Amino acid sequence: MKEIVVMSGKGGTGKTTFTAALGQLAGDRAVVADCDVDAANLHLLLRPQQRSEERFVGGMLPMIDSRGCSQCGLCANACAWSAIQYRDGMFVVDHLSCEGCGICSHVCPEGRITMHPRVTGMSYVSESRFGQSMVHADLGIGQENSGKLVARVKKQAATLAAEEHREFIIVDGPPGIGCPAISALSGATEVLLVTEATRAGQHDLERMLELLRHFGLKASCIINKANLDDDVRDDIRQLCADAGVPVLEEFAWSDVFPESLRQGRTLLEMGDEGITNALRRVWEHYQRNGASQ
Amino acid sequence: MTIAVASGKGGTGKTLVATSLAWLLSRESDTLLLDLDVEEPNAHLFFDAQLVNSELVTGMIPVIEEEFCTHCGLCQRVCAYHALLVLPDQVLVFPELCKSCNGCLALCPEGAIISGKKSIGVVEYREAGRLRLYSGRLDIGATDAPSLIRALKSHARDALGHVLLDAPPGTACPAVEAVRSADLTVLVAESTPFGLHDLDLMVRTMRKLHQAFVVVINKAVPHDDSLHEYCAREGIRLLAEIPYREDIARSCARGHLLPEALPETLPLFERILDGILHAEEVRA
Amino acid sequence: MTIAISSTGNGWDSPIDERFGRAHGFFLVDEESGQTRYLDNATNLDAGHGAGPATVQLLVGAGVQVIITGRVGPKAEGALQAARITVINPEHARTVKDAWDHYSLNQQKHS
Repeated sequence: MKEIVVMSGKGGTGKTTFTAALGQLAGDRAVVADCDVDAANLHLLLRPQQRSEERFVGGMLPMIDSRGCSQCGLCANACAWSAIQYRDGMFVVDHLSCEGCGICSHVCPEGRITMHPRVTGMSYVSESRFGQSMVHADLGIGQENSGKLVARVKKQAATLAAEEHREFIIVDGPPGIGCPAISALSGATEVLLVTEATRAGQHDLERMLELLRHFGLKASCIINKANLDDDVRDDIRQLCADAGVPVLEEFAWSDVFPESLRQGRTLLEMGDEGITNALRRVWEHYQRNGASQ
Repeated sequence: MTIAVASGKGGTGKTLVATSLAWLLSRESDTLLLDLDVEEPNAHLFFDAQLVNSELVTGMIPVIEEEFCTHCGLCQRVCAYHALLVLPDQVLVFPELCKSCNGCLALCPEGAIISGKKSIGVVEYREAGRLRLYSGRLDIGATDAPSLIRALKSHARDALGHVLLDAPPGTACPAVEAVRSADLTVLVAESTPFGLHDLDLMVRTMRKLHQAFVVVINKAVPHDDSLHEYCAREGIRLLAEIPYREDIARSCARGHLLPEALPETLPLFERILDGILHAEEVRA
Repeated sequence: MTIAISSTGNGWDSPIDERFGRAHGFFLVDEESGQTRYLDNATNLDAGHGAGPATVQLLVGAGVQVIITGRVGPKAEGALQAARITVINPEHARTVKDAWDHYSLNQQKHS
């Protein structure tokens, strides 16, 4: 099975737009997964029918039983995140600051702090309008551990792909290079980088290439908005060449991209011959190199 | 006043708005800009600013003093992150997994664990005229973005004048950590259904946090008024719209400050700034 | 000796799980008594990262001395080495039974 993870470093380069197009081209040969659990958008293009949903426990949360609390304050002192505060005559947990380490429960001399599973999001298994299974998720507001939810989405996608005998998993990755990004890259067999010909895009691509080197992952690249600045585009081409990352295609800045989102259509459904042919070539690249087991 | 610039979706123009406002403010007064997008910091690309210094940010990791360790296994049991592995003859520490909660240190019955350090990233400091810019840069492979964001925010404590925070994308803890201390947050939304969807996520986040906010639309086109309708329906004040134009996209691509490179956009940013500084959303 | 085989289920016919840290679980065989049991690895499956060392913890706790599995990450590899757990990678093994046969055969050759 081949797992293609679409990443960008910088947000807004067109990751989801390209993932949706690849998903359409792959049809029932693939399972698609949206790992941008912070701000999931792939469903807006693939308009899936939900089959099932599951609550996601992303960590633990302490509960302080104020009845037996001697108000010694050891818990508040031990907390590295200052998540236990003294308010209105009792110690309370600030859920947004708590990292779930549980040290408060260990230091409480009265044994009045207990740890409880914390539901941090939801994950969904759906069927996209291209006849394939799709896994997506929502992270609760301000929750941490989106890396864990990303791992859950990927696990569900892998299980489905095995059950349904699919050759590909196509993953829409999160922006950045931190915890969620690392989690999304774990187990990738192919990484498709979507960058844009802007100085910010170039800078973020450099950081992403370093991350891929760190984990020993191979990648290919798409340069989006390639005609915005020729110097930047040339610098990006050079960066990719130096890193041994082939540039598969370049796409010009065009109204077709935002319009496709407004119409809820994939790029292939916009009827632009040049864009369609370029996308087909990208997909052929993955099929050619698709030594599926 | 502390002003955060945020968006659920990435690439909506957060940094464009933050840098433009910082530039505008710094023409008149001392201004501090913190780039809290520590995974992919970009604000410095827009200023011709000299790097003044670079400070290493570290997190605590346990160091085992083997001569005192009895291999009782307590540290492994209390560690929620599986960062310690106690074997019969040694204790392995995995610094990448440690979240620096200090629990093992506090609870080791033998006092055999002392505090060590791991690098999380750096805080870079730059100056351009009356603008001071701090950027966080998370180490490659590091995952503790919130700690680096906290280290960055400590520089705002004794700041003179206005403080601008360029927040990371998303609605998870790094973004929340960024906007929590702001007096007002400017949500930058892109004029597409993706932008609308993620703006709604952000609006719900802000309301849950009881944070004051206003909206700026970026990449606005005349035939799409879905964001206007949303803001009207939700009773949210819309400060301004930055049009979807190729010359604006090109200017940003080159890392130019928009109101400087395209002076006809200057009144637009002045209006945004005026709307922020006189926002009635900000609680007294 | 206790031998663990990363697998997706609790049976000799269960397919082996190519992943180590993110294996569904481990089929454990006690060589002396011939007794088998299944060790669930579900909690580590959901770990964002660091599943490897946590899984090594699980195996150390169960007294495992040999692990038969597919891909082992660098962090887990170091931990397994420190814990003196031998790693065996049986190419072409599809089920727990295949992996066990591969292991037993090699043991006989070496003894």
